[in-house]
Amino acid sequence: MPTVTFNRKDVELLTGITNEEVLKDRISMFGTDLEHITDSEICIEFFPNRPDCLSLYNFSRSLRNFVAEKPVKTKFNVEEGNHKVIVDTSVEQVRPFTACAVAHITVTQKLLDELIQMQEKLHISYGRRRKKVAIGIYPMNKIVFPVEYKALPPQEIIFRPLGMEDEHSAQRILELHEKGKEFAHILENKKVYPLFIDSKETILSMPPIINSEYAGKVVEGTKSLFIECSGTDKMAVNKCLNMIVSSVYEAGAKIETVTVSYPSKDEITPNLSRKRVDFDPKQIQGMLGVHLDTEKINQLCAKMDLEFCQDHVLVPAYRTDFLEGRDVLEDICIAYGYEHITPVNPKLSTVSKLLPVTKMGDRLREFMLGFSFFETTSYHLVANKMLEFWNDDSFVKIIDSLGDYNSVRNTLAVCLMNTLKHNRQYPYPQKLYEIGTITHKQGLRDRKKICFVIAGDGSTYSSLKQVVDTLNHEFKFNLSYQEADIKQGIKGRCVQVLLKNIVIGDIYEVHPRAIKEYGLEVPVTICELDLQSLAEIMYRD
Amino acid sequence: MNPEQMIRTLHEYERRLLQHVDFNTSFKEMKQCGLEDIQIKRALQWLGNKELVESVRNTYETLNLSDKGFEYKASGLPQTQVMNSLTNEWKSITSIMQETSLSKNELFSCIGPLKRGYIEIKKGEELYIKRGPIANTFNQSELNHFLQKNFPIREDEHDETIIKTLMKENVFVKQKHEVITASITQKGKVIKGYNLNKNYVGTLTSEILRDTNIVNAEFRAYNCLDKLPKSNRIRKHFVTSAIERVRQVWVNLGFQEMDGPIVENAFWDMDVLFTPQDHPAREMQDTFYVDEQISLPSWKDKVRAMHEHGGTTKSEGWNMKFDENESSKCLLRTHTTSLSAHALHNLNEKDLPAKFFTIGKCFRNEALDWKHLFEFYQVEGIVVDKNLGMQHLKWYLLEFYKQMGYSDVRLRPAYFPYTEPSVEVDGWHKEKEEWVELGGAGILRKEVTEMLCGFPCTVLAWGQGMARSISGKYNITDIRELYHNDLDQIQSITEWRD
Repeated sequence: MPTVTFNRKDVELLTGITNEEVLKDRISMFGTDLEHITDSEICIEFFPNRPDCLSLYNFSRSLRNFVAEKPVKTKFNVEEGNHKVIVDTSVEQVRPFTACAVAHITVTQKLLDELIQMQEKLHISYGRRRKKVAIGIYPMNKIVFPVEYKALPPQEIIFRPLGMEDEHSAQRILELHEKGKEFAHILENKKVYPLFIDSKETILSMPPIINSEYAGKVVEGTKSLFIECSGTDKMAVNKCLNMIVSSVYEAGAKIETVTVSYPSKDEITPNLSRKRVDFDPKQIQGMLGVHLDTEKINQLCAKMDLEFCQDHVLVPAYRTDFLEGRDVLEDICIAYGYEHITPVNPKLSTVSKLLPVTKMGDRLREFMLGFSFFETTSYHLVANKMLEFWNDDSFVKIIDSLGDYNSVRNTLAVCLMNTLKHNRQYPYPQKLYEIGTITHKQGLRDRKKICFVIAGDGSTYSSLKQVVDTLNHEFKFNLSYQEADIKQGIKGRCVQVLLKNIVIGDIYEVHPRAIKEYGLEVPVTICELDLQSLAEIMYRD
Repeated sequence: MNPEQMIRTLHEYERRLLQHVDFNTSFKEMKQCGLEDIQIKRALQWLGNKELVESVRNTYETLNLSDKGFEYKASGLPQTQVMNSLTNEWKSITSIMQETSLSKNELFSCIGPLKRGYIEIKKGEELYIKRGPIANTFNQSELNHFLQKNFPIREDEHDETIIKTLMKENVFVKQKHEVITASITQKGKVIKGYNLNKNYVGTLTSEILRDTNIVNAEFRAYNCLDKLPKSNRIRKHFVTSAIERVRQVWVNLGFQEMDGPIVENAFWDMDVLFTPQDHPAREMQDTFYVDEQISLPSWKDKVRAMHEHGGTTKSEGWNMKFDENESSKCLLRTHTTSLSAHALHNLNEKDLPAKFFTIGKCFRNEALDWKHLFEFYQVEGIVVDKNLGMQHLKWYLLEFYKQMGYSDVRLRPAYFPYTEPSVEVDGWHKEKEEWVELGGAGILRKEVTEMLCGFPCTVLAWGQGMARSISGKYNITDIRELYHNDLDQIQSITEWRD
């Protein structure tokens, strides 16, 4: 989620809130995450449902209404313009959609900074790093309409990109320009690259990469702006334009529509009319626990700049997060104030129940403590080398993992060996156990296991076998044993443990080559048992 | 403490030693009490702690003869030996070495200083030496005489220049000495006036217990308030203790435990939770994808429809083409909400109301550092019934966090793809004097319950990562220490307190 820093004076001026405690509290309770506040700035992290608030003007207007006694409904007066953007069929294979507007406003340094920040933050979040939507803003005086939105093969594209000294081919721009390198992957394998070109064949920009130096550079003093959003999702492109336009409108701009002429039909953008979302006000009582009269609902909706009309609300064009009636309910809850909701115990009578493995785990912990075994607990992820060394079972690998933790353990034995390795400085004998989940690659099954070790002189097969014997006796598991060969066990000192003729574990003295592999100099004996099988016997429902 | 009580607390060593301490009593005098040196030292320390005796430790150095020193004491310093063996005839080095007991090195280091007239040197097949013009004036008798003294000696009591000269010949070794003297205090004098030879029983043994008189015996009193060295116990891992503690809260509230796999496909981890397929959290750098495949269930089209256009609900959906490849990708679950998804999918309408919880490991593709782990515990619970609302969610959150030890809690709006309304729960941190995030909560979106349950219901949900609260409760600043498995750390960590 992007973090945005606003000038505190600007926010104070636009919202009328100057008290720091009030600012802190209201920003938090409005559903925006206050990072920090200083004398000069306010830093806020916005949740993905409010990309509109990434702009100072949109945010301030929303917060102003949220705290206002008498909120003012946003109304956009948009003038019909006569500028045209012609969409060529060639863009269909790359970035098929665009939405455009003209804004008349004298650009100050402050507005310029604001435009740059909003554009950048929208690119990252709502635009999905420009993949879904990219935004271009241009000075009107450099453009001769109609503008064409079309795609050309890269070798036919040559222009001087913003911030560079010379003209370059599209290919070179992707290789040389900072933004080219960052976003080249979006155009990867595309046969044609999209362009905005005016009627004098001047290239305005190559979305989603970069504007041209000549026509794409807004400076202090620029009087009118051409704004376009282009991308792969028509609705997102339009909504994104609406967010930008409603922001510059709030800053004082006069907005003019643009005719976007698709091969099939013309569309007029931006469309700043409110969107209808069906909503049943009777649901409010169920959601808040209180009955609200129509006047109160009107008032709460107004705080969120929603227009309440009995069975639906009208949502302002800059909002992107209304999918259905529940989204309206949330806004009403926010306007009502989470702090004002009275908690109610629903008095639902249910019976608690733990998983058999949880209950078995508890009993085994008590059992192990009785034998003075110490509990350790390790990561599920381990190095594949450790697993390959220990047994020949297959295991789940992480794709493209960097570092040592690149596989999911299929045995706890390697974890305990690792723990022994890291505790070499402490006296022996060391008696450790771990209870944890392992994953078999076969069928991607998780199993809860218990593993215990004794390390130190006197650690022998029989010292652990006795423990398992006691376990078997006390819990009446009816375990049996069979001799077996185990990869890292000493031949002739290994058994498999069976429950109802199924192998559920093993006990073995660790072979010196494995002991040395872990940098140890003491005998080690290991037992690993399938706790889940034991639990199933203990807690047959 | 009166004197008799005090005497009862005295160890046998203390009582024995005390009788031999007066004013500036030397260690030698103290040894008359019959204890070993180490026993006396311990008794002195104890008596010192009780302010019955004041002891002073002084250290000083003495010089003793080294092995070389003893050798030269018998046969003279090397130069003396050389001069004594010389005549007015040339003599080879080899023969001088044979006559004296000097090594080649010792001999050569003599030649330098003697060359100034005491000897003459001639080079031939080897070196030849004879007495020089001032050989008669050679005199080391004072030095040789010094070696005959009674060693060890105190350096400061003897001629500085002689000692310096001899030092160069490596005849001395320095030895450190400690002089312990002790004086009885005013309090000690009083104690000493009482009978210190009364027999008190010390540590009980089975042998003593077999004595029939033991019932009437008097027992030495211990200094029960003394500090003792740290001892450790065998215990469960503190993360386990924390989990048990949290689990108890869920049990108190009547929740039943959920189960589910660690390796999931994106379908269960994200799609059924209405996370849009282009959501940034699904990218490789945030999620551990694994090299496996899990096929989609038969009802996948319900999920497809919901994402694309809201399915049978009034929702718009994400207005985006649903990609089955994206959905079948396998990953390590990124949150325990996938378990809630399974629980809801398995739930029947007739089983309402129902409450589920889990405490499980989750995985995120993070670099390991003091603040981040790539795997961590998450706790999560859901309450399912008809007609639940924010007022009920708030009740559960306040109750849950009260039982978790947070009395001052606030709810504020937040965002999660699968809940609406969404809540962030803050707890008031008394020390920092600010709100800190405890966890997330909300009411599951209709889109989600429609996909998973299919019958009308409301689902309250909340949960949190455990790592931060565990480290907070155990005063751990580096989160990696949760899984250090350092035996000393696990043993010495203090228990969770609310």
